[in-house]
Amino acid sequence: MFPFFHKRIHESVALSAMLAAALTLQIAWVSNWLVHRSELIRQRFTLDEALGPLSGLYLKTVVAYVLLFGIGVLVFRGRDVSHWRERAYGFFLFSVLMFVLLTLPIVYELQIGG
Amino acid sequence: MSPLLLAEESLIGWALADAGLVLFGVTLLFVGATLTLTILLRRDPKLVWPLVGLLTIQIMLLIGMIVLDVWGAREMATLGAVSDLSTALATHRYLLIQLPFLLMVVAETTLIVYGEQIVERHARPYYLATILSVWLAFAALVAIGMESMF
Repeated sequence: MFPFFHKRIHESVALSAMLAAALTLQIAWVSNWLVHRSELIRQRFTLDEALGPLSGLYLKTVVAYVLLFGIGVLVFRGRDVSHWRERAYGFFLFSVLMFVLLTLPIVYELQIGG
Repeated sequence: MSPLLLAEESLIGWALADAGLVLFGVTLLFVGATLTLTILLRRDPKLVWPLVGLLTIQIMLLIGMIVLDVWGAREMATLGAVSDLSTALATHRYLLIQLPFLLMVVAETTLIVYGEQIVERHARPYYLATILSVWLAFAALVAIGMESMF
């Protein structure tokens, strides 16, 4: 009814969550692609010999999300981020689509003969 | 595996021996319930709180499923049952499982922040992100389930 009867919405937290997820998905498909292309990076991501690079990839996802979320909250804290809503949502959609497409084996294992 | 109550071994008995599979099935059930609540959310914003509860359970189930599956596979490699575990784990579904996890975290965070005001006009991008996250998480889990059959 009256705006001051609504509870305060910390939109910066929601925006940070969405942006952090979007960026983490971008990092995920890029790191997966690099692991399949570079032996050095594959070795760097191999934290557990038995699990292989998957151990590093999972840890990277968790760390990336937590860090990006924290940074987002600190940067957007107390600010009016209403003008970022649509753009953040668009980027989120784009990142999900990129992740889904670029983690398909047929895509990241593609090699041009030569 | 010796059945406890049944006279013969059954498919259910074999399924229950795989904890990861059980958790996956339970997760799918909860996601199905979440999908229903997302459809009804616009009519009754108070459904936000049961949604948050369901999403919390789903996230914990997903973590448990990943830990059990990966740790179990690791134990099998130690026992020599799997010669090259890193190859065995290099499947699409082990990458894809990250997607529902992240999407559920986004959906839950957004719902906690906005509460019942998620259905208001100004929250439309976040409402759409939440609905999309839940539905895509379900689709990803179904894809993972189907891929595991082949």
